[in-house]
Amino acid sequence: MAIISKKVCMIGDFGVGKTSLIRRFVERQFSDQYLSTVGVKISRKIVNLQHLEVDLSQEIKLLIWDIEGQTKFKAIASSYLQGASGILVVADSTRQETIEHLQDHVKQFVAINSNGMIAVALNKVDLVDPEDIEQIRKNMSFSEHQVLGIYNTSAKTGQNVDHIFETLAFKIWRQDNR
Amino acid sequence: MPLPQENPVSSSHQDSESPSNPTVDSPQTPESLEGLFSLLDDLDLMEKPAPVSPPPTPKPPQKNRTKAPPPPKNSLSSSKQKTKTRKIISPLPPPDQPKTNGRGNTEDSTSVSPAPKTPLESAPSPEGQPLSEGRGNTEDSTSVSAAPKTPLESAPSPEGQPLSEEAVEQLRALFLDLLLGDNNYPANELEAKVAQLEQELHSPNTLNRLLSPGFLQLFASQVNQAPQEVVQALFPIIDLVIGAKSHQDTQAMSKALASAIPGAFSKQLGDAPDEIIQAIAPAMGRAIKEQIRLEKDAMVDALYPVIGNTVSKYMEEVVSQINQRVESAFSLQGIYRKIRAKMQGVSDAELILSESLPFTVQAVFLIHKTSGLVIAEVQQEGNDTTLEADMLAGMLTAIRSFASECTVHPENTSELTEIDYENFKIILEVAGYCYIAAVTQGDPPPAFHTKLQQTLSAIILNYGYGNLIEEFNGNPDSIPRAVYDLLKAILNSPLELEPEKPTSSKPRGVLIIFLLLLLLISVPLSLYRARQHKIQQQITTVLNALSTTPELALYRLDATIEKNQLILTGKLPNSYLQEKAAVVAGSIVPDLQIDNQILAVQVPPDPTHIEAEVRRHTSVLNRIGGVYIIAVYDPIDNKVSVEGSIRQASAENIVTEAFIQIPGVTQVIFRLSDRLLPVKERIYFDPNATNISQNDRDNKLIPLVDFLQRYPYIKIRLIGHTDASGDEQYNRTLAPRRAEVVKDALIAQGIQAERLETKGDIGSPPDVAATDPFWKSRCVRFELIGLIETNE
Ligand SMILES: Nc1nc2c(ncn2[C@@H]2O[C@H](COP(=O)(O)OP(=O)(O)OP(=O)(O)O)[C@@H](O)[C@H]2O)c(=O)[nH]1
Ligand SMILES: [Mg+2]
Repeated sequence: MAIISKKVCMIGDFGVGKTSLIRRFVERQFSDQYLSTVGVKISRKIVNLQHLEVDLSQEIKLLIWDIEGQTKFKAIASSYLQGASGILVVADSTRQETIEHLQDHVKQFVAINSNGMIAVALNKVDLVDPEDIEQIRKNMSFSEHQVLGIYNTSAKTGQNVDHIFETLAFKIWRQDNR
Repeated sequence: MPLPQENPVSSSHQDSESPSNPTVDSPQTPESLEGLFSLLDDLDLMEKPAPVSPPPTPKPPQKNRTKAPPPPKNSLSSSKQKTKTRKIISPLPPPDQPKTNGRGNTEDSTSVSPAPKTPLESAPSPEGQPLSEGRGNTEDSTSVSAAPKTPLESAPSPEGQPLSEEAVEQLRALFLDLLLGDNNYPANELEAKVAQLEQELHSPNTLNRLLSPGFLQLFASQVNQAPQEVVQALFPIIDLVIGAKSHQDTQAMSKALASAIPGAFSKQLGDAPDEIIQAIAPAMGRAIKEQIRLEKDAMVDALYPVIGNTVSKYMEEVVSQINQRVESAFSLQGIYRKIRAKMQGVSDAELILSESLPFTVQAVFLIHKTSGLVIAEVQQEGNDTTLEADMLAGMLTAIRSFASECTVHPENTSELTEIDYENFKIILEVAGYCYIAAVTQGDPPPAFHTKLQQTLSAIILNYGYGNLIEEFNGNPDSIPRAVYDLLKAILNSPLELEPEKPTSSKPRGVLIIFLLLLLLISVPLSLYRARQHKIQQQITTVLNALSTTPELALYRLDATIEKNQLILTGKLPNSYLQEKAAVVAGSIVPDLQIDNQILAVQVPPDPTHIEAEVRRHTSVLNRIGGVYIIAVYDPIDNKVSVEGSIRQASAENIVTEAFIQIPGVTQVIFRLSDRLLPVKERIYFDPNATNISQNDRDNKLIPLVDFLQRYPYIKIRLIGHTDASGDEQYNRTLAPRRAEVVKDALIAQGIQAERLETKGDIGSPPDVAATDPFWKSRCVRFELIGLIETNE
């Protein structure tokens, strides 16, 4: 079966760890250094859906667009989100405002592609108490049916990183093949 | 005169500290007076030696001191004068004792401050010495804070005149008067103050506070009068000061300098730009290198917009240089080249350049416009490096987005057409949902652009149906083999055009004769050439503008200029595009008249007419058994998309025939399924309710949103119904309310409000009978009502 390519985007505020999550997922590396992304950077990785469903031998090539984070002065350019089958919306669980902005990012994407899949990552959980994370999650909810779920991730420890990308890939594929 | 000075001193202390003093008042006066007298003498002297160097000054104080001790009764003291004076008073107010030892009581220092300030203001001028050396001196001056001020202020130092004998006498009398006549001013208090002030003077804080205003004043006047000297004085240490300060507190120093530096920098840039450049150039290079090392991509992204311009500018220069050289060379070969250049409509320089760099195509990609996914790719075999198609396509797409994001004028729909990358060139040919990117080496001849256009048109016309390209899902298997073959043709024969218009491939012999003829008229030709060159340039920009307008990009249009007239020729599928072409061209060459000779083939009456026809046919076709369809007309591509279900295959042909015969429709596209059409669905409500169930949201609204997004031209009407039960008046508001609720839900999913019209109907839908169950009437149904107005 041919490998199917899909575009996914990472969006979120600056410094939440978008680049780090990709780096962990694609290169299996992490660095504490912060080099803010300028413009767009594209990475690629092939995901085998067998990880999620054993009898599924489909491979998905994810083209992951790492888009520069939103700052107070600059919104995320919508044109980069066009044609994306899914997005990973990332927040930094140590910065409340980045969590508050998740909703806006989700809305921005839904307005561009109402069919796209959305996974929400509460990143840097390695820095926060598990109880605090629970508290944060309690206060979060998304009415958009495209949102697959909220995942606690850490680019540093690797927690849930593969899982969130693979789930996103799987749901995207499922949507095409219902 | 001294009064104002005294007042603050006395007022604050009098009540609190010396209630018992008045009794001892008279015995102490002589001592106080002595002090005063000596002070006056002192002052007198101080005025005199002013021009003399400081060292002699100790002498007069000596005299002063000798004069002062006799009157005091206590002769036991061998210690310094200071202690002596204090001892005189100490027996009476014992609390004073600790104060002497203490480092100046804060309470005190504040209350006394106004007085000592004055004498000290002038003190530094004869140099700090009197302060540190002759303690007696300081004590004196502070003992009655007011006193020193008088002479110094009133005997203006500019003249350096000593006070006259009489004046001194008068002052003396005045003081006597003051001290003896005024009971409010007990002597022992004065003594206390003396002690206190003295202490304060030894505290660095107080000194600092006291000195600073005067010092500043002095400094300012010095700077004013003899700036050069001040500079001289500060010069040797200023760097030390800065160095030490920066060492001690880098942050504060940076803060202090930060505001000044930008100004200084720009000033210096204005005054001596070369120096600045000299200074920073070496560091600059290193900084850039370091940044590239740290994050290359960021750097490339940041520089990208500039690089494009720079390269093309550079190329322009090179071309014009070569042009000059060629112009002067009157060799036979030169003339021959000139003629060829003329024939190809390019400058000879370009021709030379292209001759020297053979043109080859390395790879061709068909790329999905929004996602940047590679729809199809072909690459030159035997290449040692294969290009990473996904990454290249992704990046090109991102760059296109970036460029469009950056365009200043939104109405100026500019399009990225070319990227120069060292010895590669990536040439882009963009259509509605996809674009071709060809990676080439050498200078692409104009025919190559035509080749790309032709290929893209062929792909879209032949394989663009069924939304294959628009909704490319990333599966390369969904793309027909033929698309690859078309791309391969670009790779292998990049300049071979479809025999649409006969190209200049005439036999050689004819060419040579033709050349000889041309040679005869080469002189007038070269005169003519300059003008032609300009015209050619104008034509090129017009054609560029036309081919970068998305709707026109696919069609081959031509332009010529004749006597201030721009003549447009070619074929377009409708009059709307025909006019659009004229508008685009007119905006590029506003000073030329436009003669629009473009043919609108199959000139459609009007998109709205076609649309009406399509709907009429749809309703007729739906009467055929097993046919449940809706048909939507797309005015830009002139195609009709048919959705729904058709049970018998034979009926499909009937449907196709019906639509294709409508003038203006060029294509019929099917999108059939067994499911009910989203617009045929209805949203049902509970009695009196207006909320949409989750089930209806997921299964009816979402497909409807998809449908509306697929056909961005259509408008729908939402009709809310109520059942026959209930109050009619109530139902009149409920029916439209239901339609509004559904409308809001669609808007929330991104559908524009202009496309949704609402209406309420308290009756049942047309196909629901009065005998049917009530729930069938509690619904919102949808009707297609046509195309939205597209301006232009
Ligand atoms: N402890 C911890 N640090 C993280 C994690 N993820 C990212 N970081 C750190 O957070 C900083 C920012 O990470 P980036 O990945 O560059 O953030 P970004 O979202 O790409 O930022 P922009 O490109 O500016 O939008 C870096 O210093 C990372 O090392 C994590 O899971 N745990
Ligand atoms: Mg980043």
